[in-house]
Order: sequence, then C-alpha cells, then structure tokens
Amino acid sequence: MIARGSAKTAIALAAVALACFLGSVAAWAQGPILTYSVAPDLIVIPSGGTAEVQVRFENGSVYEADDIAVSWAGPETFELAAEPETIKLLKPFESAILPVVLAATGATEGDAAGSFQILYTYCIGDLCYQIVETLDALIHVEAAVIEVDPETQTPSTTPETPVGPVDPVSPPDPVEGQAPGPRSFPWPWIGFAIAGLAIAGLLILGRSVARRRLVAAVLALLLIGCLTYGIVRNQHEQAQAIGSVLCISCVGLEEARSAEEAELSESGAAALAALGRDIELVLFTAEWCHACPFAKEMVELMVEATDRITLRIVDVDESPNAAVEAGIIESNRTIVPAILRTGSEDVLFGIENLEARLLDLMEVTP
Amino acid sequence: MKKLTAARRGTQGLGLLFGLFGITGIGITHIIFPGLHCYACPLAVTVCPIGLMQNLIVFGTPPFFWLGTILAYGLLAGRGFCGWFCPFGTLNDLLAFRKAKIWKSVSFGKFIVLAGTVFAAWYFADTVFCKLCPAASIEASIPYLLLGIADVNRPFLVHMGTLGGTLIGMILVSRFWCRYLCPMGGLLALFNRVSFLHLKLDEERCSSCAACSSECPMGLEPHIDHDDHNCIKCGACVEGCHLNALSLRYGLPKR
Repeated sequence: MIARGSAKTAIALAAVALACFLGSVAAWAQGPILTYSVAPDLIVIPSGGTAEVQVRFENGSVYEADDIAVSWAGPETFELAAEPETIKLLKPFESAILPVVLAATGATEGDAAGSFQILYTYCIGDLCYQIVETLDALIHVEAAVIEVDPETQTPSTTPETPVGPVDPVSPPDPVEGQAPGPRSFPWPWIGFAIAGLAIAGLLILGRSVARRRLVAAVLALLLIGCLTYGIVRNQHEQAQAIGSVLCISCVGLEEARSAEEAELSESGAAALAALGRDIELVLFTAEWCHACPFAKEMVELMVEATDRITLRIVDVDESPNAAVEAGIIESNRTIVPAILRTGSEDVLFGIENLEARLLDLMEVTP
Repeated sequence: MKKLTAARRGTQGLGLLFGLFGITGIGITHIIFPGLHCYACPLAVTVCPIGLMQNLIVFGTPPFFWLGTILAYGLLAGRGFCGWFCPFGTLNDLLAFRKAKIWKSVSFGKFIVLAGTVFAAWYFADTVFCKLCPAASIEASIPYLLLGIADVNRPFLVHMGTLGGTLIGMILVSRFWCRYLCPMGGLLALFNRVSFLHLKLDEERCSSCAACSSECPMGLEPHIDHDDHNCIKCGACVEGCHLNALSLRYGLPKR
C-alpha cells in the first residue's frame, strides 16, 4: 500500500512530466503561419493554351499575413498569363483563394512538374518575417484541341478554352475566385444561435426537478455535437493558437516599443564618445517591418554620439544578396530588423533591449 | 482537517498544478481551463475560457469547440469547479474570513459582467475584460513585472486597481469575486441545477438549525435551497451539518 503522501508526490511528478512532454511536442511542431494548396491537383493545359488554377491560402495563426504574392518559379516552359493580384491582408483564421492563369508557352505534350513561388510577410512582436516558399504543382500538357471549321476546312486551335477536370457545365464560381471573397451565408452562426437557444431553453426546463435527467441527456448530446463539429472545423487548434500568444496589452505591456521613441542613455552616449576605434554598422530594414524605424532611430542616435561609427542602411528587398551574405535571409526566411557589425559574425535581431545589446556588439562598456 | 476539506485542498492543488505548470511556455495544449485562469501567465498551459470567448468574438468565429467544452464542464460539475479546482477560487477560499449572507440580487451581477464582457469584446473588438481581470493581475501582470518584461504603466496600474479592489472585497466578504463578479462563475452557474455533482438534502433529517448556513462561504442557506445557482458545491455545509442531512452526490441529476 502506497502512503498517501507519496501518491500525491507521484501525481505531481506525473503532471510535471506530462507538461514537459506536451511542451516539447508543441515547440517542435511550430509551423509557418500560412498553409496553401493548389486546385486542381493535376493541372491540365492544352499545348500552347492556358488553364485556370486556384491557389488557396489559409491563415491558421493569430497573426496577420501581409502582401501574399504568387509567382511562377519554373520550369520556364510555363508562365503566368497575367500578373496575379496580391492579397494585401489575410486576417487570423481566414482563408482566401487567388486565381492565377497558367500558360503552357513552350511545353511539349506529357506530364511535367513545376512550382509556384509564394511570398508573404508577417510580424510577431518586434520581429518581422518574410517567407518565400515553393508550392509544387503537377501539370499535364495535352495536345492542342483542333477544331475543323466545316466551311473553310481550315483547322483552328482554340487555346483559350481551358480543358481539364473543371466541369464545363459549372465553371469555377467567379465570386469565390476573388481574393479574399465576400463572406458566404453564415450557416455556422445560425447553427450556433440554434444551439445557444436550445441550451437556454433546456436550462429553463432544467429548473424543474422532474425534467433534469432528460435535460442533462439532451445537453450531453448537444455537447458531443458541438465538440465534434468544433474539432472538425479545427477550432481546438485555433484555441491553442490563441492561447499561445501573449496578450501583451493585457498585462501592462501595452506601449509596444516599436511605437516608442528611441532614447540613448547618458552613460551609453558617454561611452560611445570615448570610442577608440572605427566601427561600421549595417542595418537591414524593410518597408514591411514595423519595428525597423525604432532600430534605425536608435542606431542613428549612436552615430550622432561619436564620429567613429559609420552606418550603412540596407533594404533587404533591394539588395537581397547582402542580406543572404549576412544571414538575414536564410532558408527562404527573412528576419528584420537586423544589425550587423562589419568584421564580426554577430547579428542582432529585433529591438528588445537594443541599446545594451548594440553596445555589447561594439564591445563598449557604459 | 475534515475529509471533504482535505480532498478539496488536494483537487485545488491539482488545479494550480494543471493551470500553472507550463514551465515549457504558454499555449501548448488545446485544453480550455475549467475556471478563471489567465493564459498569458508565463506558466499557463491551458486557455482561459473567458479570454478565448472574447478572442473568438473579435475574430468572428462561431465558437462550437468552446461551447462544447463549457457544456462539458457545466454537466460534469457546474460551479463545482469554482469550489474544487479554480486557482482564483482557491485564492478566494484562502481569504474567506467573513462568511456574510449573500445578497441574492447583487449575485446576478456576474451575469451582467458576463454580458458586458461579450458586448465589450464585440463593440471594441478587443479583450476588454482581460485588461481588468484580477486573475490576470496576479497571474500575468505581476509575474511579467518581476521578470523585467513589463513596466509600471497605466495598464499595469489598472490591473493593480482591480486586484486591490477584489482583494479588499474578498477579505471583507468570503468569496466576494465568486459571488458577485466572476463571468466564468456565471457561465457555470447556468448549468448548476443539471450538473452531475450536486448537493442532496435529506429533509427528514434536517432540523432547520441553519448550522450549514453559518459554514457556507457563498453565504447561502442550504437547508432552505440546496441547489441555488450560487452553490459552488464545496461541501462546507456537509461538514457543518451535525445531523448528516446534507451530502454531496455525483451522478445523473435526480428525477
């Protein structure tokens, strides 16, 4: 027989172990914020013709994705017939469909593999990310449809008609094709309202002792229905995504530092004024980066404090090569703001505690 | 310590452990916590039902998963979670010095807080309640200040204000927050009469001595109404009854 005290300890230890395990699984499973797919699975294009393809984006996170752009990554025997629109903003838990028209300009008949390039940006707190990923597509190029005109007897190709698994009777809904499309009829909300009213009604019935068992049984059925439907709609993932974000405004962190003015402390300025060697700093910024103005302001204050620091500002979109060299763009992921000291390997990311970290990077002790 | 109280301290400890033992970082499970418990807490592993509700309103998601979970908690124990599990309820419990009689009409205040929370989340498209929530003051504001991440600024002072007010209330009247203000208590209270955990009164044994009433931290009168929506099923009245007329039962609600 286990003593009561040790049983409690065992329960506590088991709970700790479980929490650690769940934590490591979750940390390992952190993915990108957008998921995307291409429809149809097999793109059928007449040789020399075009086919409409839908790229679907889903934002499964609580962060906003900005400026989602699609381009054709290759091979060069295909190209996009027109520059597709960019999706300016995809809000948390929303999805959008972007129609693109793929043209088989130089492709020979048969199966081919190609890929779209997807580019988007998002910010988590101080750090902004640009993601470049590829989305694979399978293409089947058919022989061009040749129609023989009965009068002139001249064959004419009709490359403009998309031929493929798209049912010709019901072409893809043009409304759905616009990104992001207008909301469809709110069936889930109506379902939710009915469930809410049912629960309210049942609870009023449940006030009478005689009906409690029945009410509890019906509520249990509703419970199972709601949970199942919620999980099918991936709402448990959504709950976790919401829980995994620190609501900074809820805990007294409301004044986000990116909105603050940079300020250099007196001791920092004094230490910089006494700087005995020349230092070159490179600041990597981007237009879509929210925290970059703060970083720029801080570095400029340091440049003002001494004449030994030279500053170079690099826009990662204009000179991606320099950013790749510095490790700002790695595995198709760009992270800004980033500050590099020329001649050292170290790069600073973000603006958290920036003054102290910058002074440390320059080996200056205030 | 009496048996029920000892058991309750155990489950309250588990509630603390389950709610606050996220040493590996916030938001790592899909579980909605059955109590008022800030998910911004640096040690949180679960999601706060009220915080999630507000976020879902802001995002415009029909919350089926949330509703299913609340139904499950409501049926499993109703407000029993307030008495046996909720960490903020535990704090209320530890400060329960003065068991004054409940003001019934004021106790509907928690439904007003709940409705106000929903309305404010919709109207301002923001988690307004979280910015006032005293549980967040303790579990998030103060820890982040101690960790050196937060500053003493206006939102922090607002949190300290609501926490101070609630603490004073809790010291003056036992379970002040649970009685009058808690929106999660309001949600669970809806299911109190049909939940599987319930208080049973054997009317033949009851002498109406009201010994139970003097023990009740919620200021109720179990010998008159044993399934009030305010009852947190803590069992204090069961232990206080000399005639064994009251008991806590678990099972399908009686016919």
